[in-house]
Amino acid sequence: MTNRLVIKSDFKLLDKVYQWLENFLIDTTNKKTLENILLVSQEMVTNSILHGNKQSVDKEVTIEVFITSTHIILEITDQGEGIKKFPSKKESKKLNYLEENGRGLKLAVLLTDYIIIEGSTIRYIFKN
Amino acid sequence: MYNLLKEISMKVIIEKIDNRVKITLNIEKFNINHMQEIKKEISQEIKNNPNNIIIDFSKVVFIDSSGLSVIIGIFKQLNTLNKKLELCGLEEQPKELFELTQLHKLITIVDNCNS
Repeated sequence: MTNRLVIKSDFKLLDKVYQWLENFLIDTTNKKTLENILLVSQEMVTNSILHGNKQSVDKEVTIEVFITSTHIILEITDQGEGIKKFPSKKESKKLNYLEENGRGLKLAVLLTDYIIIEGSTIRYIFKN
Repeated sequence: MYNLLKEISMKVIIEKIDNRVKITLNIEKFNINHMQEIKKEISQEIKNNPNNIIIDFSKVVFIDSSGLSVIIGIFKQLNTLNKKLELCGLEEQPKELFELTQLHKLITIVDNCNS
């Protein structure tokens, strides 16, 4: 099974991403970490389609997973300008979820151990 | 008494039970794909029939922030009408996300959908 999935910018493909990641990781990590990775992937692929690729169906989102002896790395690349900055852990913990904007990014921050931004590629790193 | 009112779409089933409305989400993953349709259907129901609402989550195994935003919108809409929102039958992931976001302090979550 390949560690790379490329999808068109279509929200209907979110289920395919979920299923692929679940199948790829189910024997590699515990249930809690898997749930966190699945949620972060759904939030951030949605963000890539919506804000990165601006729902242009000819633009793609690439999802890659790397497993090391200590971590699982989820890498998401879109064809947009990238996210300049994520909220801090402190800001994410204080968040008021009744507010309309930014819930997805804050959830990603709360559920990930480290985030590395490299242009339009973002690496979400989970301790395993 | 348990009166079937309507099955609005494949995604939402609405029933009137005594003095409240029970809404069953007939989806497994509550994400952006279902957001607009479910929001529209439930919001319309509240306008037509303002009542306390219980939402049955038993079929939902996954929810993300798009799904949460629909629930928050319903909570706010009902709040302005002095009506209550309850959620029931939550699986592990949805329950944990409501706790992580502290929404369980605002919205009542019960185990049993038939109580």
